[in-house]
Amino acid sequence: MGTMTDTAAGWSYLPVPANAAKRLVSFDNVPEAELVRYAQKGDEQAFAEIIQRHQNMVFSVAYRMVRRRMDAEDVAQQVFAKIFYALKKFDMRSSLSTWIYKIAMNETYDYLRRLKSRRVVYDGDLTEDFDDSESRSARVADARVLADERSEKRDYLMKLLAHVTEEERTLLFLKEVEGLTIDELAERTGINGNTIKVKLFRARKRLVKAAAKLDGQTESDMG
Amino acid sequence: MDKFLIDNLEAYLSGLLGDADRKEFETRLNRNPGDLEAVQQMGGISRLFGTLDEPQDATLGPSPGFHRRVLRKIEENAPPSIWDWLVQPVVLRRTAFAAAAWLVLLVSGAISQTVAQPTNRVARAVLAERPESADYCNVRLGCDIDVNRSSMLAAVIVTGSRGR
Repeated sequence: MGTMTDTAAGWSYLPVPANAAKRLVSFDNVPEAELVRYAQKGDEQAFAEIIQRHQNMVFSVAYRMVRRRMDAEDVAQQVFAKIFYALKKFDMRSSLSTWIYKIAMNETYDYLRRLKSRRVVYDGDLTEDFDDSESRSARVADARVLADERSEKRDYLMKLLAHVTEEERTLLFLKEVEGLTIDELAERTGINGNTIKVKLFRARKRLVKAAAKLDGQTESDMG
Repeated sequence: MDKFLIDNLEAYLSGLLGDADRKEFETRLNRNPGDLEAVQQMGGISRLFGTLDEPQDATLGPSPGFHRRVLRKIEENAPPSIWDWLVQPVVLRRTAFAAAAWLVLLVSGAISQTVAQPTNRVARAVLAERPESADYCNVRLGCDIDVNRSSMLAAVIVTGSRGR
């Protein structure tokens, strides 16, 4: 068996015996920055490793928002296709995962915007097994009411989030959904902690303003 | 909203503010009803993010074969090459239309040149008729539009040559 070469051209492949099929080297332990550099040079294996490392995170972001497994997979595929073409522009100012997270958020958000008023039954809200036949219909009805309420709240939140910038939306998600602290946010985004606090404050103010506007509209529609 | 409130807002909304800071935070809020209302609304909106909890089966990740499907998507999203762009029916139609338009322009240009020649001949005749000593050429206007145009053209040519 050969060893992995350290040149850019030879990194991704083991020296191949003449009668053997080309064997790919695992990028498992390669640091992120190096992995990005190889992927930027067009190394498919490095890109495959990026997919491998981040697919669950991207899928989770999409699934939380679109609430349909199939749709979330579609969005996740689209996200990685975008990453493939945009990777050359990635300058490592923020961490790769934050950059990918931002793309995933925006892509999912665009997807939801395209869906607009389409009402869907969310897979993610109705996943319990109902095995007790007597109380089944009552529980299904309760679950549906609950799911509808959650779905309405989620739709409302999505409408509010249309009023903040992409950066603010990403920061809010990382803070509120992923539960990152200000220090963690600073580390992942490369932005100073105090600046993040101010950005989040501005974003929240915008959300409050948007909510007042939206509630006012709803009241006037009802009136 | 003052700096203390902005600095501690995130910790307050997350319930991570220590007792002393929380009391200070709330005291400052109570001093300003506008700030109090804003923070209450921010808290309400913050709770809405709870509806984006992870679905039960989200931890399973995408289904097997995800990488292959991503590669297919990348191919679908590939930007078209120049050649692909050129052979698009729309581009071909537009190119053909532009070529036809140029042809029409060229032909009409050539035709108008041919039609213009007799007028030029009349202009040359007007120039030939003018007395050698004349410093300028009178514009003679009559019923014939061609003769009028030639007369004016001759005047312009003569005035131009005097200028030089």
